[in-house]
Amino acid sequence: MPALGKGHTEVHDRLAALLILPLVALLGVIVAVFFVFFRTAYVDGDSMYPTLDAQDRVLVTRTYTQPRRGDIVVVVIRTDQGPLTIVKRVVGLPGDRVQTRGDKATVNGRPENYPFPLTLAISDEQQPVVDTTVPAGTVFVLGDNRAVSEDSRFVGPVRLDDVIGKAVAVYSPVTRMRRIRYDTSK
Amino acid sequence: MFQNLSDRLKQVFDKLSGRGRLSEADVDAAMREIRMALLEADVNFRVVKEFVARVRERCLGAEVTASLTPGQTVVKIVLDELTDLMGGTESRLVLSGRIPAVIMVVGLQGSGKTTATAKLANLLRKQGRSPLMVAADVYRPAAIDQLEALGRELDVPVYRGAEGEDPVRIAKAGVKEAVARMRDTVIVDTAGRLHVDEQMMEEAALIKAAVKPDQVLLVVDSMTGQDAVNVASAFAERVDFDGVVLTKLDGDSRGGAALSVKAVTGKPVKFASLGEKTDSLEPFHPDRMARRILGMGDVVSLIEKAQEVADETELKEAGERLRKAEFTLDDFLIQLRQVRKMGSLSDVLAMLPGAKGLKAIRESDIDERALDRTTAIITSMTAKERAKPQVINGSRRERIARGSGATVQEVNQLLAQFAQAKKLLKQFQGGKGKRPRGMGFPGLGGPF
Repeated sequence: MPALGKGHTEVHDRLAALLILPLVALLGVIVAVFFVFFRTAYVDGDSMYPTLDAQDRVLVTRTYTQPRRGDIVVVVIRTDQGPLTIVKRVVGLPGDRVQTRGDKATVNGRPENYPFPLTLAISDEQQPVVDTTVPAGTVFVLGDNRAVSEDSRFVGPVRLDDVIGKAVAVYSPVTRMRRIRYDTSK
Repeated sequence: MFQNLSDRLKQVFDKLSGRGRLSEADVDAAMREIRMALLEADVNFRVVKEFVARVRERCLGAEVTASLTPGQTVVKIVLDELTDLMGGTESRLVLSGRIPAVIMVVGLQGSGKTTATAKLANLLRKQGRSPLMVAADVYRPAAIDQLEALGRELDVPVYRGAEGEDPVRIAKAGVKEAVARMRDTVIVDTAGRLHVDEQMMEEAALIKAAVKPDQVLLVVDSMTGQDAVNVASAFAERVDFDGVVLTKLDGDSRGGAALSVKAVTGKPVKFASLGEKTDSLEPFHPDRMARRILGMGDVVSLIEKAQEVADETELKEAGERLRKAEFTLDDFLIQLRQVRKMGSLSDVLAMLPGAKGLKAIRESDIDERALDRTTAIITSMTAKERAKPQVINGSRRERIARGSGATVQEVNQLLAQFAQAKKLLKQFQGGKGKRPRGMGFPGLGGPF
């Protein structure tokens, strides 16, 4: 900026330092505080369809200690390729007897409320049959779309320590942006 | 959806609620109103007549249960019958397992056939299939463009024939294309007409013969009510189809098509489309639909509730006998099972006020299996032994232990505990009537 005098630039610089630095710092603090309470997760695949679609991004609360049946949670599972972060729904709590057959699951003998039905008659036989009591300190998680979901039926219950948090909202893509509602009547 | 019908039925049930008993005249009056409500909903009149007759018969013959009021009993009967009317259980796509599987979609123009084809492709893709759509609706070029646009949006390939090509050949070539592109499901969107006519039927029959589909689905617009049912009847005569796709169900305030199509044609509704978006096709659940019509939530079912209460009656009976000191091992078993049903023992104990703070419960080191083992021991006894535990001698004890996988000591322990508990109960009887409320078997929390 040769047209401007030297003094002029200095004023600008000072103003910038005076205003922008605190703003950036404030923003940084806000972001830091935000990520203490929240994190985000990316839905990779169709296993929670139609509740969550592939490529949705969800906001997850980290201050989550008491899982409830029906909560959509982000959990870490260990695979041969290393740890994997997945989004599933809590179906069984410690001590619950969980039985699955086809696309249906029962918890302590009661039908679970969230299955997305299979479309094909043959698909039932391709689903694993599970009958287990959830051990202490773990939760049994399932995807809503059983046909394509890799969940506790395959990898077993998930340790509570591996539950990162509960999904509370979809924030991307914009067209699907919404709060995730949970039925609190039960 | 079905708002008018729901409102009408609700009025009928409101009149019945709160009644202690229902006379035949009450039931008849209610049936008249249900009949009117269904006719206004554009349900086929023959279907209405049969439906009302069945409901009436069941209402009059219904036994009075402790758990439901007469009004609720009528609601439950109507719910059951509505579910049956729509096919009872869900009806899925039956594919033979050959690759590629072929699904053929037929229907009139304007019924939403092309959109339904795309929605179905999306649903199948979401559940792990790889579909290919075939645009064989050659008489409406816009339909082909529409399908291609939808295919792009969903990332599902579309096969279109050359211009002016015969639809039968397009369908056949589409199946070949699927093989070449390694797709495992082909959905053929056939041509529709404005009205049911000979040419359309013939062409559909020809395509069917050519590609031998695993499933033929008829798409009807549910907003057209009885017309939709008539179309379905016409198709059922000429081109046998396997199931119905009801479109625009979200805009249907009456529900005539959804309620009559199964009863009139004998073909189940397999899918319902509830909106414009490509993910708005749902497998059709008669029970859920019936609940929606009656304004009940999906979550809490009346029947489930009744079940709970029925168990409560069972518990009360056991409690009654307990008070009269007639408590047997059978009653004990009932209580054990009740406790087990309520969830894990630590959960049950945690329900007790003040118990939450106890460390032992928090860490849930209560042996859940002890309950199961006790149950096993009791179920290994004969009926006589359960009623009169005094008869259990040494050899019987051994047999019970063998039958339940427990040791003789465990059997002894259980019997001793039971005898002791009974003695304790007798002492309670001494202070007649002043028994603490909710008393159960010691150590098990009793009936909650």
